[in-house]
Amino acid sequence: MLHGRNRTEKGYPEKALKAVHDRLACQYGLVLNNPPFSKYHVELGEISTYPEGYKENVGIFCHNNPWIMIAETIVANGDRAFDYYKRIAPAYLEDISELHRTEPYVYAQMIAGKDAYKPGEAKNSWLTGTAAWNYYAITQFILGIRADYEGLKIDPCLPKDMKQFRVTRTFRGVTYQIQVLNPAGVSKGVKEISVDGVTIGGNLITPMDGKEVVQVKVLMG
Amino acid sequence: MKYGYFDDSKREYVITDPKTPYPWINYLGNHDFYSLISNTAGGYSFFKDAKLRRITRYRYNNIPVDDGGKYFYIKDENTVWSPGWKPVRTPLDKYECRHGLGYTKITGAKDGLEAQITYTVPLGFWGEVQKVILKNTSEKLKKIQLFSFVEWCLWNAQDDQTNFQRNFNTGEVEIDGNVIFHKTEYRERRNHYAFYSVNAEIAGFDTDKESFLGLYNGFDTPDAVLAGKATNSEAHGWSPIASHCLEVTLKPGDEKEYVFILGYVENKEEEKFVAPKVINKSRTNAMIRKFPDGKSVDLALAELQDYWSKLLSVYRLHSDDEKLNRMVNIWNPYQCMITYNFSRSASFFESGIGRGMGFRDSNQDLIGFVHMAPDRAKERIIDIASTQFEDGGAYHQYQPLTKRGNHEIGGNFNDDPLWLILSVSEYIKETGDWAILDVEVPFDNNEQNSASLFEHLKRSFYHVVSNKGAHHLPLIGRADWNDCLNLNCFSTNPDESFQTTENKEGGKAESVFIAGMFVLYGREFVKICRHKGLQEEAGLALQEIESMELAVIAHGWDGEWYLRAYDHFGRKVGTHENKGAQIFIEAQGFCSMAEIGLKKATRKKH
Repeated sequence: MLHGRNRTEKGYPEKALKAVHDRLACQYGLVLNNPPFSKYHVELGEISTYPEGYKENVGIFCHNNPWIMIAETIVANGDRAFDYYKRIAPAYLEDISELHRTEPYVYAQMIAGKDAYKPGEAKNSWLTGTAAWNYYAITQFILGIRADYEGLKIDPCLPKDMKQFRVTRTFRGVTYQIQVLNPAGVSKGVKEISVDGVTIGGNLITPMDGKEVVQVKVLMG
Repeated sequence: MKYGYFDDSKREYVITDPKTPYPWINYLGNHDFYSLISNTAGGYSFFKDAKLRRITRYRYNNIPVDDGGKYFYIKDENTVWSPGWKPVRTPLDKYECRHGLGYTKITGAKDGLEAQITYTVPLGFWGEVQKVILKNTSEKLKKIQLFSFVEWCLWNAQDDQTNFQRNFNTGEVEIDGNVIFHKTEYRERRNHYAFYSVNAEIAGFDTDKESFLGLYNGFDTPDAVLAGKATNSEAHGWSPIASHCLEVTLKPGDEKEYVFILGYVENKEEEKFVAPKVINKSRTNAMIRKFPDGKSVDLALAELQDYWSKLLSVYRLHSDDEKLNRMVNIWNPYQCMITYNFSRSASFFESGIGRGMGFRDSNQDLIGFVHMAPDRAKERIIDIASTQFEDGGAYHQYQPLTKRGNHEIGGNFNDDPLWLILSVSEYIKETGDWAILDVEVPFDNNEQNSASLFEHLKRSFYHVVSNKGAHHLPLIGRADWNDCLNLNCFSTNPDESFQTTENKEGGKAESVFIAGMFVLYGREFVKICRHKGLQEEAGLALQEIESMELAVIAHGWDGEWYLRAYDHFGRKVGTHENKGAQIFIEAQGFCSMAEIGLKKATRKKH
C-alpha cells in the first residue's frame, strides 16, 4: 500500500482534462457529455429525454465550461484555458451571428453541440449562471487577479502569446494599478512582483494602510 | 455575418439591421421597476415581480415572434411606419438600435423624417421614461400624427393569459388630459395602478384595444393609425391599452422633443380615491413633474451612466485584445448584474411566471457581482441562508417577494448546501468582512430558530458528510447541479416533473460531482475555521475532506476520467463501459478544480 503523496498523486486532473479535450471539445465549446443518449433511460431521468446535442443531452451548457477553464489554469495550461474561453464568449462569436442567433453581447445558457441538428445555434440568452462563472474564470483565474482572504493574489495563467496587460482593480478601498509583463511568453508563474517599486516575496499583496492608489508590477517567467 | 457592431466608447451594441437572427434584447431598471426591450421595441414592464405585478402584456412564443411592446406609429401622409421597424415593418430609410447600459435608443427614418426614441428607467424611479425626438430632414413642411402604444396586463401575468371568463370583464381605465390610467382591480384589493403620460397636448387617445386596432387586425395595421385619428375610446373590460395621438407639424430642419412616462404608483388604502371612482393622482403628478422635458431625461441618463461607470470601475482590463476588453469591462459584468437582479425569472426564454430564486443559482450568480455590489451580495447571502433547513439541507427555490422557501418544489438537491460556502467565502475574500459569519440567520425563515451564518456553513458541510452512500460518496438526492440527471426518480408518467416527483425509496444514487464540490469548498470551510481560531473544527473537517478524496480515488475514477455518479442500483454513470454518455463534464470540472489526485508538480508547468 502506498502512503502520503504517492497515494494521491495520480495525475487524475491532468488525464481528465485531456479526456475533456478529446471527447467533449468542439468548435463551439465543450459539450456536457459524450456520446449522446439516443433513447430514454428511466434510471437516468430527464437528461435522456432531450434530442441528441441539445440541453443536458450533449449540448454545450455554457455554465460548466468555465469549470474546465479554471481547471486548465490549475494544471498551468493557459493556451487551452483561453481557447475554451474564446469558443463561447459572445464577443468572439459576432461574425457567426446568423448561426449563433442570440445576442453577440451576452452569454446564452446553451449552444447546440456537435451531435445536434444545428451545431453552434444558441438558446436561452441572458439569465444564466454562465455569466458569473465566465467572469470569475477570466478575471480571477486566466488574468489571475484574485481576491483572497488576506489580500489580493496575482496568479495569471495566460495564453503564451499574451505578452502584457494592465488591470485596474479596486479592492477593499485601495486602487491597484497592475501591470503584468510576460516577455518570456510563459503560461504560468510569477517571477517577481513589485508594489510601488518595492519587491515583495510571493504573489499575495496584503493591504497597506494610508494608500489609495498602488502601482503593482508583475513579471512572469 | 454581423447585424451591428460594438461601440465600446459608448458601451453600446449598435444593431443596424432590425431583422436580427432572433430578437436581441436589453434590460432597463436597477431596482423595483424593470423593462425588457428588444431591438424592435418589443417587450414588457413589471414591478419587482414579473408574475404578480406585470404592467404591460406580452405574448410569449407569438406570431410573428416578439409582437407586442412599447410601440410608436408615425402616419406621414399615406405612409405608416414605426421607428423600430416593428410592428408595422414598413421598410425604413435608416434604422439603428443602440443597446446601452440600462437604456435603449432606437432611431428610424423615413421620407425625410427621423424619429429617435430613448427608453430608460431612471435610477430610483418607478417608471419607464421614453424620450422621443422627431426631426424633419426634408425640404418641405411635415404634418404627421404620432401614436404611442402600450397594452396593459391585468397584473398577474399567469392569470392574464388564462382566466379570460373573468378578465374580459374587469378592465378599467381613467383618462385625465394627456395621462391614461390603468386601474383594473384598484377598486378592490390592489393598492396600485399604472399610467402612461406625455408632456404635450394630445389630439386624441385610445384605451380600448379593439377600437384602436380593429378586432381582426394585428399590431401592424391599427385602424386608428391608418385613419390618422384616435377614436377616444374608453375601455370597459376586454383589453385596456393606452395610446396617445399627437398632431405634429415640423418645418424643414425642425426638431421636436416629447417625454412619455409609463409609471407605476402605490397608494395607501385611505388615500386611494379623491372622489367616487376618481383615483388619487398626486404621486403620478409628482412623477410626471420630474421629467418635464428632454433635458431632464438626459440628466437621468447621465446619472445612470455614472452609476454603471462606478460599478464597472472595480475591475478594468487594458489588453491588446479588444474583444476580451469589451467582455471583461462591459458586457460580462453587465450581464452579471442583470442576472443578479432577475435570477432566472424574466427573459425572452423565461416567461416571468415560472420560477422563483434558485438556492444554487443565486449563490453562484453572486461570484459575478460581489466585487461591484458587496452590500447587495451580503443581503442576498442572508436571504438565501435564511431558507436553509436545520439539518443543512435547503429549499431548491425561494420566492423573491416573500423570501420564503418554495414548498411545492421542496429540497433534497444535495449539491445546494455547498454553494452557500462558495458565496460566503467569495464575499469574505472580496470584502474582508469576517463579521458576516456572526450574523444570526434563521432556519427555514423561523426567527425563533436561528444560528450564526458560520453555523449555517457548518451544517452545509456536514449535510454532505451525513448523507453518503455505499461508495462513501455523497448521495445525489433528486439531482445535483445537473437538474436533468434524476437517478432516483424512475418516472414513466409524462404528466409529472422529473425534479419534484418523489424519489425511489432509499435514494441510493451517489454523485462524484458533489464529492468534488465537497473537497473544493470544504477547504474554504477549513480556512474559515482556522481564521476563527477553531483549529479542532478545522482538523475534523480536513479529515472528512481527505476521506472524500480517497473515496473519489477509490470509487470515482474510470481510468481516463472521473466517473459522474452511481445510479440507484450501484451501477456506474459516466464510464467507458457504457454505450451512452461515457464521460460527463461536471465531474471533470469539479474534481479537477478540487485537485483530486493532482500531481503537485503539474501546477508549476509553464
